[in-house]
Amino acid sequence: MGGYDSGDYYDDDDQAAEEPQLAGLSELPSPPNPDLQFLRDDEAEAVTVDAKEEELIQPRAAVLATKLISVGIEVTVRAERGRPAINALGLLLPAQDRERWTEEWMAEWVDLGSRPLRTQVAFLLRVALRSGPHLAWTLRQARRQRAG
Amino acid sequence: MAKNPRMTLQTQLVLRTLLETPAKARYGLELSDAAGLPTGTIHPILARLESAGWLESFWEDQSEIEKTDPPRPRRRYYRFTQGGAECARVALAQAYNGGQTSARLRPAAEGR
Repeated sequence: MGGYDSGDYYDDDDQAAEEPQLAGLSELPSPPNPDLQFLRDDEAEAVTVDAKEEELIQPRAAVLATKLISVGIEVTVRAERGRPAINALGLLLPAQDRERWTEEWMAEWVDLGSRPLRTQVAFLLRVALRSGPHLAWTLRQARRQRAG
Repeated sequence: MAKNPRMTLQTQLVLRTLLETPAKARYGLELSDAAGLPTGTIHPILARLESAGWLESFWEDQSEIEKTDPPRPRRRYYRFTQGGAECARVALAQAYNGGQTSARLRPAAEGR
């Protein structure tokens, strides 16, 4: 069994052979813009799109549409996932104010749906460890002041 | 009106942001972004300002929510009450002057 010689693999002759091809790339004509052809579909010659071009364009549009839909679904699913956590955090608050503040947290959580996951996790942690208990204390104190 | 709220740095930032456009109502996340506060920290401040009678809050119109796609929960909007903006201005000025005074006094107190 003989190993290959790395010197042969990176041969200077091979590099020299590739160079003319690379240099020629800039001289190649730019490919036709398929979007422009579609914009002119009222014209007879533009309606006839090559079958080959159609094959190239359609999957690209489908991939883009699928990506957009999946992002929308992901955001909605992520927002719904937070609901039990937010409802649980609402238990910290006085019963009379619970509904209002959990709805407000939920609205903020849904607004955060398009932001990175770490921002959303940070939001939940802040609400659980800082904002929730602080808000509960503030609301109870306000209620006590009103009563007394 | 109830007792004045504590003028913490975060409270001052929220008031300053609201005073930029006193008539405009803003929701929690919009306010915390504008004030440069982390998300989820603004609610106790808003509750304190509301119970002091400086701010009033109301739910977003149902018609506004129906326009959005996908639908989302309604937002709670906050804006100054009739005298709230003036109270906030005075409190901010006092906090600023207080800060200035304590900053001037500190070196002298340390020198004793």
